[in-house]
Amino acid sequence: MIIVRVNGREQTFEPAADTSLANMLRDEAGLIGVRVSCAEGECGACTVLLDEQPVTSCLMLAHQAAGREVTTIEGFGSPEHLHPIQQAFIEEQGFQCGFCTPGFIIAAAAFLAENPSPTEAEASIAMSGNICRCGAYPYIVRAVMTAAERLRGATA
Amino acid sequence: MSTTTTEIARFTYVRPTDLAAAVAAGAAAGPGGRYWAGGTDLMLEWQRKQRPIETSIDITGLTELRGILIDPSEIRIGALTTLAEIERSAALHPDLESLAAIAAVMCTPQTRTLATVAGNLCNASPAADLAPPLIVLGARIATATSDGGRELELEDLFTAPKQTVLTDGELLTHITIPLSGQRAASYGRIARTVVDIALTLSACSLTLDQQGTVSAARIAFGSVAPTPLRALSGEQLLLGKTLAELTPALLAEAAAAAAGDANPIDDIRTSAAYRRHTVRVLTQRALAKTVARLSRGGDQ
Repeated sequence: MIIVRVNGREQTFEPAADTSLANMLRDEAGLIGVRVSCAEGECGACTVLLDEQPVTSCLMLAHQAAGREVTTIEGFGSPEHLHPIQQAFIEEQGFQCGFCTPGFIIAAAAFLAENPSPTEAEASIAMSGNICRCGAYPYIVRAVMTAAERLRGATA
Repeated sequence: MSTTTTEIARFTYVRPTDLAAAVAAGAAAGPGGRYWAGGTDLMLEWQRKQRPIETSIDITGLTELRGILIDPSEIRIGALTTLAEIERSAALHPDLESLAAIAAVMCTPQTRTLATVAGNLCNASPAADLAPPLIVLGARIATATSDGGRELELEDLFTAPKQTVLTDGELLTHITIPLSGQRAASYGRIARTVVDIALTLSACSLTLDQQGTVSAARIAFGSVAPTPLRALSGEQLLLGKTLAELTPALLAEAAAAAAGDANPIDDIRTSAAYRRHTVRVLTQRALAKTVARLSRGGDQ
């Protein structure tokens, strides 16, 4: 049995030894905003924050998250109060089908926490761990830049 | 997840909290045991059924194996230091600049959060990006076993693709970089995209003695041989030279000699001919950058 703090709430799980964190979050916690696409750590759709740092949750054992804090897209904002990054993705149309979007938003959150005033090139490189099969990349980078501006304004 | 009739055999998972318990678990597990650090390579191997694992020994709780320590004689990098931590280490010491720059273009930001230095080395990919820049800094590795441990040169770790000299239950605990005189290092790397593994990588370092002559020269390659490779042939030509004698012509000659040590293959990423050509060009450029840095007073 392991205890993981998921989206601010301590939960206990009993994953098998080789269950990935992504599958545990989806199957046991019902957090289907964690998208599993490639299951090989290439596409970033399953990105979550582990102690504030971005990880591809398909590429780690659920057991590796024992005693740690995990944030999924469900831990960002709410339908009534969207997170500024979510709002920016909507306004800048930073998606088409939306399947990859949770991963992009979480990767963007981790990146902007570290670099609040990025250049477009930096934002683009920071999103290199996420794949958008619709090819919305220019809009995604614009969304990250808009989100950066909003978040800077919010803390100023 | 649906359950099929051919359910995969699951491994036993153990999580020791100190080094003694970890190596005891490693000894008990024998050949079926694997130390699990970041696990980013192991997870793929397991899912693709490329290598059997009977016991996974999760060592991420061994806090004593984390972090970078710098003292007057050496830099000590804990085995579990992550690529993300290496990426942010450039300001700690000039010798870490090449290593940090290379870490910053390895895999993805997400994988760098988990992946460790020791994992990159012990996975023993011919394209292990951290190996060449560490080898040119004269890195040594320390290991622990249930009945002791040893130290060896990093360049002696690798024996074949995915193979090392480490025995069952032997755990790499840290990497040390001996600090020496006036040294500068540089590298060149070619990859298809920012997230792709290197097609070719060349790293080099030059150390000047008190008289201003080259007392140590090291060149090492990635992705051009079955293992990360030290290119001794090019180094010989640089030893004993003054900065003024390290002319572009001599650097070109050294780079060509070094490239002769490469033993690349054609694979899905590129051809052996491309690798042989680019490793020479990258080496020449890296040597030129290193000489330029030494001319400005070196790394330290």
